Amino acid sequence: MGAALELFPQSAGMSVTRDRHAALRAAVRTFVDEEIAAGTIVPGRQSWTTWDRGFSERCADRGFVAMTWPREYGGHERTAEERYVVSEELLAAGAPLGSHWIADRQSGPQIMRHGTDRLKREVLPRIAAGRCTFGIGMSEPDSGSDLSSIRTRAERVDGGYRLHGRKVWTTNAQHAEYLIVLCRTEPRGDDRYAGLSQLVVPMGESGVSVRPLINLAGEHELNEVTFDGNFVPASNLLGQGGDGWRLVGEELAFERSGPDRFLSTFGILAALTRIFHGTDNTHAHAEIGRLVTRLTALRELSLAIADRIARGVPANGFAMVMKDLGTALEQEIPDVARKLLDMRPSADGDADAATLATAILNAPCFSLRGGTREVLKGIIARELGLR
Amino acid sequence: MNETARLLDDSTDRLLRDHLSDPLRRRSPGLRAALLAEIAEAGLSLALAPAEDGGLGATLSEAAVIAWRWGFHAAPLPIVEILLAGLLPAQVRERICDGDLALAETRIGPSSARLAGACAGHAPAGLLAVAAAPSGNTMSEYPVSAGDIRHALSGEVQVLLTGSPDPVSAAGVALDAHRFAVAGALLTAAAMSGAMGRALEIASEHANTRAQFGKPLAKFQAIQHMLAEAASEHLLAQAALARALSDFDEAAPHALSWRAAKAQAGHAATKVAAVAHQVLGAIGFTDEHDLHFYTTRLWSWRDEWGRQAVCEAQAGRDATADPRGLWQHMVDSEEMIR
Repeated sequence: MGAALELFPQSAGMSVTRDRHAALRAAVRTFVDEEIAAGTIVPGRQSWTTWDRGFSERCADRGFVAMTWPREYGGHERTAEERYVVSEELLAAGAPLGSHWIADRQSGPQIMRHGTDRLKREVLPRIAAGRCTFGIGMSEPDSGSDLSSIRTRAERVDGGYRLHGRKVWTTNAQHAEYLIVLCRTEPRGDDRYAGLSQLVVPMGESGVSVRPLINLAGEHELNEVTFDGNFVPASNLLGQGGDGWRLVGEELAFERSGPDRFLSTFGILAALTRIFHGTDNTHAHAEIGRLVTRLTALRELSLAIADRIARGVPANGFAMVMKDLGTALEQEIPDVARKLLDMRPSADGDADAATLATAILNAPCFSLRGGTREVLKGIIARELGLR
Repeated sequence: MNETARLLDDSTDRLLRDHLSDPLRRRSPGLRAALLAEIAEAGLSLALAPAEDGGLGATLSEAAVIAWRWGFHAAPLPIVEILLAGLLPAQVRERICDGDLALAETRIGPSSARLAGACAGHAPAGLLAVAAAPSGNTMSEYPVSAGDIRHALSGEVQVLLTGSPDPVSAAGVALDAHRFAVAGALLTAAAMSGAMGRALEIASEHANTRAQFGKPLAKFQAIQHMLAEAASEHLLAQAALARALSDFDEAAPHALSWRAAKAQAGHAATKVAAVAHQVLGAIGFTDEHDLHFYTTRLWSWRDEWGRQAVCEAQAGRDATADPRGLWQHMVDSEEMIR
């Protein structure tokens, strides 16, 4: 029973040679340097939620979007490992990935797995070209962690559905071409998980309205989306209908397993290392070393998860652990930085002061988005056989 | 696991179950000698010795499962030092396994004047230290007197020499002192991982069976979260350890890999021990329960062959010194190995 979450000694003697992918990393770094020079990447001030359509299109031109997808959908049929390398290079650089990140990470794969052929042909090539933003339509005002209690309902009409309800905390909905919406297609009965479905909802239809939710950093990334009878074609249903709970679980698995769950504040850690370069500050070395060794361990866990997923081995418990520990480290990094640095964090200060300000202001959301830490710990406990 | 690792794990497990499943046997005075004889007979103590020396020529990753299983049973004897002895010349190796010689931790980087090491016996005549020197790597033996004997938190015998004593003998040695130190760190981290795994099993079993207020402890969210956190830290330690062992066996040069493994093992051990004791309650705090065999070993091992704070400080020093910046420091120091 205790072996539910085990990597060693299971893997003993089965070492996997780590390919550095030097050429691929160099290509991404060249791209990043060009974008920094052009001012589209502002190190430390942006993250993977920052929306920039032009940046996403240029990423796609370089082959950095839809990397593992089949060529017939505009993908490049590269390995999961290569995709991981590109992802971590872009994340460490703090690039503005928001226009394509969710679509590439989860929405596209979800459609590939559960969508109709028509939907795939309509949507996937546009995502691959960096021209299509997707939003996640899960949370509602009365349904956050308790996701199965959602009330948005899809009424069956001729040729499709009409949607009624409200979604909230939807990142970049103001830019999104589509939202994948978890909704009720059957009234709720005794089984709270039955009667749910996922629909790929076009955002341009009449009946969809988006209201900005400005966060405490003064940024517009989150939104409230109201559905007032907007039409969704039948070919946009994912899965069979009624299987939405299982499908949303799969989509969340895509969401929880990547290096975006521990690299969000890498910029300030890199700044710390740079600031204390050439100094003899033993306290700083100790603190930086603590964070760097932990980050190294998290990256190894992340790579192990990516390897398991690529081999088709379940990794859900591992991904929960990585998200919980990774987001905690993301929050700890600015907290260590503010103690080590004689600096006032300020969004309009110099580059380092602005990087620290961005990290501190955004820190609370790391342990909330994509599943709160308390929910994650509960799932981990279940994996351990405790519930 | 590969075939060799599985074989080593099975042998170690069987051997230790025979001796340790009976709680009374664990306290018997003849246990250490019996275990020493059996691991020698099973060839386990020679796991790392090259085949031409009569050993198994195992990789560190394979030998680490012996240490892991040793920690899983919280078995007595300094398994790390016994396994490392396999890398040393035969006459010295035998004296270490007999308990006549303690083996000092090889330190990397700023070294303190103190030499400290563990011993298989109770009254070693000497302490052997492998060290890097400008002229080559050396193996020196220092005299040990009764006043130099201590006991670790686990109860294991330790030798602690203070001051700068003169060695009674010194010789050049072919092995790489740096790699010797890293092997010690990773074998210790593996032993810690085994102990953590079993401690978490014990705590989970207790939580699932012990009932208070009409339900098992495991139904309380506070207990669930504590165990989830402890298991998470352990998983993180395993990930770092697996990579560091792989890097060692492939002679990858990056120190960050093994330092992260040993530091995270220390961090995880602290969390796992604390949570296990918290869940077990008062009974786990007494010697009537086996938990203390695990937690005292974790508390000892986290300081041995690479104290957590030292590993972290060295990692921080290296990271800040690297002119390429942190990201390249972390990902670009891996050699491309084909």
